Amino acid sequence: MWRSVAIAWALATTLLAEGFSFTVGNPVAAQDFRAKGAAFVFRTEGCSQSPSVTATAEGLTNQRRSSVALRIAPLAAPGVFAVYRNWPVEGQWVVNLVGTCGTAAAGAIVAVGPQGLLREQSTFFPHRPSAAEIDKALATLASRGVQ
Amino acid sequence: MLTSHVSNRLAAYVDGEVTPSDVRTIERHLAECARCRTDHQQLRLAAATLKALPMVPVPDNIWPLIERGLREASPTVPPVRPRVWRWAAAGAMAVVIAVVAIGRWGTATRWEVRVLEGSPVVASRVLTDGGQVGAGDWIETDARARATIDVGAIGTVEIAPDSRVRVTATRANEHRLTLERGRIHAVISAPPRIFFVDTASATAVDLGCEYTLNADEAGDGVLRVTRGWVSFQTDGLESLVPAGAACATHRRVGPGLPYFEDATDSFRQAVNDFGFQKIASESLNTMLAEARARDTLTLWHLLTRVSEADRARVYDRMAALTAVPPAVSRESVLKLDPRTLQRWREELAWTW
Repeated sequence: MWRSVAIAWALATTLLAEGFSFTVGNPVAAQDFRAKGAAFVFRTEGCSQSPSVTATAEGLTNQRRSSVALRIAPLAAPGVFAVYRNWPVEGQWVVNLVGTCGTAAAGAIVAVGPQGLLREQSTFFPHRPSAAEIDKALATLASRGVQ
Repeated sequence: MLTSHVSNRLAAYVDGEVTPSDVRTIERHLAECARCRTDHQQLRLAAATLKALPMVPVPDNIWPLIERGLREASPTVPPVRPRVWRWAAAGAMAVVIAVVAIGRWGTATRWEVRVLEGSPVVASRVLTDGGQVGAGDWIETDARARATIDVGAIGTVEIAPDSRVRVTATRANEHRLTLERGRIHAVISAPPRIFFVDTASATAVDLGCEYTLNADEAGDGVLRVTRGWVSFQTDGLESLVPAGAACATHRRVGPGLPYFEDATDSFRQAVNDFGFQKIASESLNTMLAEARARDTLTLWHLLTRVSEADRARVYDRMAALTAVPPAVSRESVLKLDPRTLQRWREELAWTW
């Protein structure tokens, strides 16, 4: 019986997390004056429970890769968070968002330029972004001269 | 002519929850009815005060205390007189605290002014270094002068050359300037609706932002927002302008449609023509044809400023550009239901 309950629970968690993903926006999307200095804001979708989310800034400076852990700031609206710029100005940088909701995962590589969010150059995944995907995003930004 | 009083609709009006036609009715009434104007002022003050209160974490022990209180107030226990007095005393204390807080909130202060360049005239005196201004004082810069004001503790306003600015109110709940002519750049870190700048044709209401505003004596001007949101408004007409967007205002018309500055030239020209040049039909066609997903900012504002037939066209174009949330129905949008419009705007803002 316990096995059936466990299977049902796992199935329910998976179904509830179906379509688990990130939505990113400019700080104005948060409708919260405290977000105005953020690099961007984001929310998770498709997760009925509280998802776990981490963020790191991934950079490429003079051909050297580096990584900076970022703090995610919760905002007034439930499930909406701000990411503040906390990485060097030199080189190309993206923010790697990783979320888990039960057994489901979601990822986003968010490109941020001097003027803020680069929506067209941000990519979203139904999994944790791989190192290769992050490297590719940084290489694309470098080839376009985005700093 | 006065119609029936509008007191019972003022709270919804202050919260922006009434339809545009109700807004017009209420504002016509407020212009003529001193009693309702007083009610309105009190509601606005209360709303601003509440919005400015900081959020504080709820103590962990609050629920056990509430539960214990509920158990003690069980209907099987007859109410005893001392508890009534305890509640009365608590109520009286709350009133005293509120009165003291609002009193302090309403106290006027003086603001620091610093000279950045040249010799601005501040409160009728030529300033070479720094000084202070209070409500009623003017600050005037010539072609070579610039100055900056520390707006209480909430931010700074830089006054560009050839500008004339009046300090209108310096209360904690109302920091207000009048830009008679010229240009200012404001950087404000405060809860929304604490900082205001009046021009001859519109008022810029800070919703947590950084912006540049220029205006002339007649009321023509442009607002450009670099961070956060500004509400640009006059007499029931409101344009919400987010970072990256601009909004022109014209004499006798008020604020036009906000637009993102990276929109196409023809889109921006159409925005200007629609608002101020009276060639609405042609410019509406151009806006609908040229709009990108991000330009739903402009289209959302169009919804309340076009005829019912054109509103359907605007809705359809917006629905083609972005996914309409399930809670937003075409019918409610076409009826200009305030809650639906607000919900849609908040969702659209993720693309702005």
